[in-house]
Amino acid sequence: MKNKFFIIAAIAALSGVASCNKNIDVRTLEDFEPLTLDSTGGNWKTILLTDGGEVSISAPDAVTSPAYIAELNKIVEAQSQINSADRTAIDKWKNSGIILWNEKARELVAKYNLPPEANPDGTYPAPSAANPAAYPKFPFANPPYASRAFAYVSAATYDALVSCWKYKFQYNRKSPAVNDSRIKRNETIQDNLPSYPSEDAVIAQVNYRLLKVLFPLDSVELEKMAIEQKKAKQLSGVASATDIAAGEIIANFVVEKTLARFRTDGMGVAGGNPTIWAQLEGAAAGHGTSVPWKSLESPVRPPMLPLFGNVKLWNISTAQRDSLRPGPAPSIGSAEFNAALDELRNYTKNPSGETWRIAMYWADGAGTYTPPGHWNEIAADLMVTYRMNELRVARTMSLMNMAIADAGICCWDTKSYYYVPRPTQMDGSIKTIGLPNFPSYTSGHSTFSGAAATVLGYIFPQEKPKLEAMAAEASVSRIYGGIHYRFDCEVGLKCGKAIGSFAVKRGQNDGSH
Amino acid sequence: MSQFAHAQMPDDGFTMSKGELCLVAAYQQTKWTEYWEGTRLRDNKNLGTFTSKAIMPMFGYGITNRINVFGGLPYIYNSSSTGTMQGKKGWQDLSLAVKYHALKKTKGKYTWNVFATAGFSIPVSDYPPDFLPFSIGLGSKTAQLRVIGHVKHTSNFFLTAQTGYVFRSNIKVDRQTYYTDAQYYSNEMAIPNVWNGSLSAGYDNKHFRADVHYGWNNATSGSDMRRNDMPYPGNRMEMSAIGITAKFWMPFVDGLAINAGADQVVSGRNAGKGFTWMAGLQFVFKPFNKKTHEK
Repeated sequence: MKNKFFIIAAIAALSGVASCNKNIDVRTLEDFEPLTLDSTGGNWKTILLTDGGEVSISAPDAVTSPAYIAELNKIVEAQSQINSADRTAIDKWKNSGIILWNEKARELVAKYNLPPEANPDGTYPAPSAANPAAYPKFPFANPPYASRAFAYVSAATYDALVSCWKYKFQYNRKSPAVNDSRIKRNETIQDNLPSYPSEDAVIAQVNYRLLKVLFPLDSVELEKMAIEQKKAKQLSGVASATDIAAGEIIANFVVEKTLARFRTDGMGVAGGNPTIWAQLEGAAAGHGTSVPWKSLESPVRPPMLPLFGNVKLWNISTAQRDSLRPGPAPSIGSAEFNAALDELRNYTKNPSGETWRIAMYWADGAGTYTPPGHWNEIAADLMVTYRMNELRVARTMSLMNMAIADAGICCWDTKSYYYVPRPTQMDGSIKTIGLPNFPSYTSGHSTFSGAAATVLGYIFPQEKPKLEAMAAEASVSRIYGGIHYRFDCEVGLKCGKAIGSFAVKRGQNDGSH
Repeated sequence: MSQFAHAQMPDDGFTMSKGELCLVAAYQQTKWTEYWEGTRLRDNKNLGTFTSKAIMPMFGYGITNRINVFGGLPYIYNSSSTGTMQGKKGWQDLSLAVKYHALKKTKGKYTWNVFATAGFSIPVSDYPPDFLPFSIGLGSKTAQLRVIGHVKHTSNFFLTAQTGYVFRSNIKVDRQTYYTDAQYYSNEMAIPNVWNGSLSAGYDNKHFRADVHYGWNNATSGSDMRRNDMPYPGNRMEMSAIGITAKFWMPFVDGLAINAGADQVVSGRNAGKGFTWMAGLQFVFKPFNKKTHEK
């Protein structure tokens, strides 16, 4: 009797949780086939190239030529030796390759988004691209770094795919499986989409080469990914060896042109130096800020990339950046400023379930893929839902990520110009969800989100109200988290939308409509 | 959060007789300035000293002479002495346990006892678990099984060895995506199970009981904190501690005792190197009959 009681109690207690395992449910994207072909996509306006024809690709061997037939024979042979790892790879790459690479980029951002720990003497070490493995590992993939990374990869992918599309429909050589009935279709093949040059090779090569510059410590894994994608497409009957090679030629050309811009865009000096940090602090009063920003970290940490505002912009000129810079924040001590502080005291003393949830949902702080990464994920979901082909995926990603990068640049320019202190600097009782180490005005989350939602709302008009609500929630989440004054967020969101509209204008005139 | 200085009723080698009710009110405080980030011990000037305070109401009841039930619900307040992060406070997890006195055998000068405990716990509020180290708990539902061996000499000296396995459920967090050892597109986090136990040696008579102990609390899975990253609930948290506990029965109030204890974490992983002390009052009585209690 007593034994039974104990056993029943034990079973009851365990049945609740012992059934649980350590597996977790993860979101995955649905399989899809693209809705459109965009056969005139080769005429779309490019970003870094003068046009899709800047790189010349010679005509492929005819489908009846011995050389091409030899290529087909190789595919037939390779398909006869296909193994389960190959099938997994084919399955992995059968949807949007760009989105898979973007997921990889998001993961790398999260992996490297850790602020360096202080040296024992109270100074801070900086990561070095020349010696990436030494602590702190290169890079520190903070939000500005991430925004710039996503923009370069997306813009280069788009340009290379425009060029790819031009030659696809100029030469019109179809996939091996279309040309030769011996070749199995190991994935769904779009019969009308020519395979020379291979879009998958373009995507693999552009992403691999740029990501290995951005994240050099992971170059081996990135190369494996590129090789896997190219091989999968040959085994699935989508592309032949010369389709792949032609794609690589386009990719390499675009990558070289992209890297020339990348290396001279001003990022190398964006961290500033002690003289510049002192100058920014000293200039604040002249720009209307009576109490300049100070780092609240211990030891005092230099501001994050204070000259990121001078990095080369994508869709707007430096003069336009200056005219987009908002007027000063409410002056410290004014009624409006004090009201903003009061609001924060309320939110941070009584964090309720819903405001806390929103603050955490959008926090995207250290060790995460950052707000630019969050918006890349939102975009990826939409592109799958609306079944975009790779060219349209590239266009969407480039327009959004150029806008996000411009938003970061403009926002950092504003931050460094006004050097407004964080709320906690003005009232130490305002505790936060984790305080970023750079000036307050304007909010980076708000500016990034305003820009991203504006571009995505233009591309997915049916989703516009939802996207705008998301941006507004991302913006206000920073108030709930005790990190930003309301005016930081409201002005940042407005600036972000204005910056996004420049990318929309580019999209409206790129020939894709 | 110390795992050791709790009044260890479900874990100890003692039992209540049928009808006895034991009520405990205890206060516990843990402080640390150093913590293990992975296996690297470090401090953090943006935390300074971390403090966790807890008020712990608990009860125990003798259903029979061999079956006791226990319950408790701590209120916890976590904060740091420096930095800009919000402290967190609230009612944490309700725990209930059944302890079964499986064996009692006296041979010569020694009395041998074996107990088995089964228990579970469940969060009572929607406190955020994903804001460590300030979160008041991990938000996980748990179930555990434990065996306790206890031997007492006629001189009143005793030894206790106990070990248990704690199953812990996955949790839902507010973030939708997180990175640990890889990127997870999920708002679900896996909370590692725990293997814990302790060895204690002490003295027990009708006036007081005291022991010294060594305890360990080790996750069986989970990842390490990365350098200068925030902790997260799925980290592999481990610690071992040494400590003392004592109980004094008040001479003039039948059934009333003072509990006190202290623990020092001596090794760990993804955990604070904490010092904990606790003090509490305990009252044992028989509410449902008139027999005097047996100590």
